[in-house]
Amino acid sequence: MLSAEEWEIIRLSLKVAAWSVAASLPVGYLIAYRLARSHSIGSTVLDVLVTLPLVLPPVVTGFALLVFFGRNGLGGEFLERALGVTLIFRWTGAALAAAVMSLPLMVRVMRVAIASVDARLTGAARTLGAGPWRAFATITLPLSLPGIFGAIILGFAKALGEFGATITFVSNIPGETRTIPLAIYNLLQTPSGEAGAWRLCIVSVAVSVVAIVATELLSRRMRQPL
Amino acid sequence: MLKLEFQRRQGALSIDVKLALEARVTALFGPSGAGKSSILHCVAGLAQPDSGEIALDGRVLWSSAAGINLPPEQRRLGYVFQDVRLFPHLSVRANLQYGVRARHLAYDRERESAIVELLGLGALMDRAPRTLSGGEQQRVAIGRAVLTDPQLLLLDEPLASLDVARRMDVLGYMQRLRNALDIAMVYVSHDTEEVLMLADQVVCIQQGKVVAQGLPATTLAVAERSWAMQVRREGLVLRAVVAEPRNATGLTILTHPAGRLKLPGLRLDRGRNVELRVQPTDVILSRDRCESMSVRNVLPAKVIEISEIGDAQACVTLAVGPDRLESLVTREAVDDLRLHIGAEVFALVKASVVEAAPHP
Repeated sequence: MLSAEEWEIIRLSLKVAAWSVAASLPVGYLIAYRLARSHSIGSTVLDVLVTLPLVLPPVVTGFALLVFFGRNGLGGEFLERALGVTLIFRWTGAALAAAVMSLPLMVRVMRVAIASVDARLTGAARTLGAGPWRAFATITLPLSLPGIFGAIILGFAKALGEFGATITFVSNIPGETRTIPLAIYNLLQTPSGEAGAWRLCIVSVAVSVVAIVATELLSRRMRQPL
Repeated sequence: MLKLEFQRRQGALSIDVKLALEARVTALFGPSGAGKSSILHCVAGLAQPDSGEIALDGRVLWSSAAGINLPPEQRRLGYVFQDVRLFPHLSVRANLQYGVRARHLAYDRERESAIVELLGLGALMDRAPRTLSGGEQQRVAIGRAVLTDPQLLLLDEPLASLDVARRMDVLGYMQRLRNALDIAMVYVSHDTEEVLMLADQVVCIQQGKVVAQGLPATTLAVAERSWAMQVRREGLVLRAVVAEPRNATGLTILTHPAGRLKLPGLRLDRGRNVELRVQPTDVILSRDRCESMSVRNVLPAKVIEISEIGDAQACVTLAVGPDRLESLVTREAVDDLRLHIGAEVFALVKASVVEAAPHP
């Protein structure tokens, strides 16, 4: 039904999305925690920075990544020298672009979840002998789990569909950075590519539906009493 | 013994307490907004004073001078919150065991079942907190705090969020707990009945300050009277009649059944009835007539009651003719003047501070 080349595109897309979520989840949770619990000026600045990729044209975000993480960019040079990691024109760069683009959505979902956890419960845990970390791990973290799962699914779906920032930052290289949306775009540019585009579109829809259903089932399960 | 000596400013309220609590159950009693809960928060480490020291059985919990601030988890206190704060994602059993695990205490099944029995929680163990009634939730919260084997149990108006029937129910359980366990408690309340049922000692807090302390029944009586005065901003009343309107010296002379009074600044006609409100702080007591003092208004009086306020002061109630006055004096003065019920004294009333209201 699907060609080996198409399977390769799907496999790459899933890999990029999975790494994107893995990278943005811990960072996103920390940011969401800070935004939910503090309303200082620093938090507002952080909020604006994180939200920017949501409102900017994706091409602008991609260009910013190119400037910062390109060969001559500050971040790119550092990663290349310190860790030997190259982002530009590599699938790792695609994962980074997807992570930056999905971060605002993930932060939003987790922030609401953390804010809905009564901070006074942490105080109660502290009087019962729990240190700050234990209180976090046993109270705030489990009570914000629905938000974490929601963020994972939303972030994964967003990463799978990321196009503008990805193509600007890492270009459209078959087998390296050509994810499903880039492949569809490419097929639409080629004569007689429409059938292939259709097949990948159907794959996209299927993945999205699975993600939405999974979110719904999960949130229902979370709402059930103990 | 819990020793508190600290100051804390929060908004318009300035808390300044100095207390040594030794009783098994001490009630912090006072009107809402008096700072009772804030004092408890400072003891538990959920808030910090501005300056001073808090020590429990010789162990310093907080000290501005020594720079000590034990985090809440190291203070070994139990805290029962007015708003309960059970962990919603944990069963009753897991809530009860939370502190035992967090403190890495050895799991003591016997002790657990004794407390579960005492608080009547046996049938609730596997339920979720949200399925419990308000009274049941608060009983679980009390059990959760007690099971951590705290050195001191702090209870912050644990019954305030309950209706009357449930309140009596939980109060009964708390009495059982008090009688069965050997845990010192500090109980915050603004309910006289609760305090009388549970406390061995009462400390009355008003606007952040200790205004009275002692045995429950007598202390509550004094405290309530002192609030009544504070709230209405009025002292006790002397009823007098204008004998001579404002004369050349600017004074009006009034007659009272106990004697003559001179007041400045009154413009009233002869024969008018006047009510004079006198604050307890503006009445000075003397064993003799004090002819040589600047105070012009000296009335013979008889002591009819002496009640202790705080650890240094006393409120002396006087019969002045048919009227009553109160005088706030130090306990030392009570001893020096050999004041006792029935003693004949002179009440010196500072005329300038007397408020007069024409009386029909």
